[in-house]
Amino acid sequence: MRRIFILLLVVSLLFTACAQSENTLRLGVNLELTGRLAWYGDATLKGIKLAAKEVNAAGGIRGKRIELVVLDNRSENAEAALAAIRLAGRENVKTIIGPSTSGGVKASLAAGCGVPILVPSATADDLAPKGGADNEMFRICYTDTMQGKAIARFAVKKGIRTAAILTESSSDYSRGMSQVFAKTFKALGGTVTAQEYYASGETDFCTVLTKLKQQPFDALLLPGYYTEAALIIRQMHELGIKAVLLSGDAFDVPALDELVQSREYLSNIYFTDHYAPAGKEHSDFARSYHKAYGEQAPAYAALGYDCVKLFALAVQKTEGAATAEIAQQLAYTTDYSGVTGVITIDENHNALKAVHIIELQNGKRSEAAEIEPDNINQFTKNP
Amino acid sequence: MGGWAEQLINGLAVGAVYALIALGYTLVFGVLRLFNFAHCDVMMAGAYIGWLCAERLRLGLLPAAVAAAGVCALLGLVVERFGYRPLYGASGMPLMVVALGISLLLQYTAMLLFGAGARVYPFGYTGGVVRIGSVTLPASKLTALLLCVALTAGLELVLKYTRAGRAVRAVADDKTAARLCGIYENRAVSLAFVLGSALAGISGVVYGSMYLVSPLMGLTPGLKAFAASVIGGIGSIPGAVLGGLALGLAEALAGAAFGTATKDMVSFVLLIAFLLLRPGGIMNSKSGTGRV
Repeated sequence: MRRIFILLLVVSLLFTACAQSENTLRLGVNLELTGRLAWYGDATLKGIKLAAKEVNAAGGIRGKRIELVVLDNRSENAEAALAAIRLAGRENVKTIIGPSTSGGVKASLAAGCGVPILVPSATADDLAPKGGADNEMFRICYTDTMQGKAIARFAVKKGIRTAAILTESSSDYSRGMSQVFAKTFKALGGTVTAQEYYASGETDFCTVLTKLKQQPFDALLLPGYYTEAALIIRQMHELGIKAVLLSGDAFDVPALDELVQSREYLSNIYFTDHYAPAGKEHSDFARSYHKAYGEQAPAYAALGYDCVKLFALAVQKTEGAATAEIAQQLAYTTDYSGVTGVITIDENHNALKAVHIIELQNGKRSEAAEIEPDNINQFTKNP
Repeated sequence: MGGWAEQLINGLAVGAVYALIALGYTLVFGVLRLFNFAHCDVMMAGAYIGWLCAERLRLGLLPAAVAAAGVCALLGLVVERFGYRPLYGASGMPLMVVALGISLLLQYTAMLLFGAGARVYPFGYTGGVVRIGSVTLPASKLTALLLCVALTAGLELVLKYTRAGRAVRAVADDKTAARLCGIYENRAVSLAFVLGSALAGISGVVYGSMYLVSPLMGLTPGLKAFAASVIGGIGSIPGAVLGGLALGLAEALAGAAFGTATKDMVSFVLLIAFLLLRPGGIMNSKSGTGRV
């Protein structure tokens, strides 16, 4: 009797397990939820959750609900690779979103899991080792080449003639953007006065800043993450360096403002971003995000949101929601009007998108310029 | 050239913070022959206490530093009494493992209490700029230098001219002889922990207000201070200060001359060089014998 009971229990468990996988689409999330870049992953996850809730509330995708499987990669590349392997293997997900940084995505791709990886915010140019149409990576944001060119062009237009560059030596994003900026800025007639490096986790930047200070410059390019960037901004002012600060999409974090604290120091800062909160096309998103979390939506959240919506759209077009089909449909994405702009996936699985430039004055953000992808390339061909 | 003067003072100031932490290592090593690896996490605790005082109670730098010193002294006492004392007489290894355990315990307690993210002292806390001629310096750096000098002098006074301080030195010199003279060894060890931890608390407030406060903030300065105490001569008070200042200077000058990527390399190459060529450090001529 007892044996039959146990048998029944096992069978019923098996059934529920099957029923679950029949009615849901497992979507993996591999993000920086703790560690030094936790803020980026946290914001992206908020956007992902909001989109998944909306899709499920609207009846799911062909009657199937999205089930999120969230793993934390602790802001470390090795952990990101492990998380990707686990999601593709044991968790058996259809697609993975993340990680948010270039290093993390490279590590996850190197693990070779055979599942499409949707990349919300990693901008390094050489994310996929070979590029081409068979890689598993699908990026919905612009690349460091684009944002590097855009900020260089913007700087020259603003009348900046000399610039120093301070790069985080271990970050693919920081190195890539610095290189492109230097090349474009020189091509447009600017002069790079100095190129210096710092290591992640450093706290005292007085040595390198004092060194930079010896040769005056109009602007400092600082493509770094928020913890170090906040300390650099503070120490820059303490050493009396008054220069315009230029940076990339990693500056779009409230944590930066919190750590710098002084409104006075949060002035004359310009950085590239994926989206400008003031635009009309994403006002629905901005409103529902505010309703859900009580705060303004940062670009990272908007990118996470777009990833889920693109995934839903791709699955909608497939016949049986197999991973290979989903990958194929993701590759076909053309002129998808997302919260962060119009997304078209090209033959290398990158998206060509407009670059927004955000200005920080006294701690307040406003959009300073929007540069279309055509203009970025055209302009740099004929300076 | 203005650049070099600024680099020098900056290096000295960073070295002063290393020195303050190194003093704690050296005190405890003197009486116990133990590298108290939990020491840098006591510094982290001090940084959080100071942050609470500054952010919640709106206290100034000095009261916050005093509060942090007090709480950390208590913490040091508890760590010594319940963490290390049951193991006195055991070989070095169990003590070392306990030290690492306490270090992790403190780190994760801070993470539970305050979260993993970085905190920052209220703006303008030690902020401001001091200009001497063409040289511009952050005021916080000068504060660190002054505090280092004052506290080292104070510590020397306590150790040389008070009964309890002399007991600490006696135990560091020769445990058996000290016991034969009627000195309570355990009391002297406790006092070494209390003094070292109070200094760690103060350096935590200085370090935290200069940079950021986070549960793992102790790791890097802790390692540097460890290197500083070895370079200066482990067990020697002037050695710890000299080692700290020398290390800070070496880092700043190497960073200025060869790029900042060489900073960490320089400190640890120095550490290895001293361990190989002069294990007693700058202050001790004989290898390895420590004196407080």
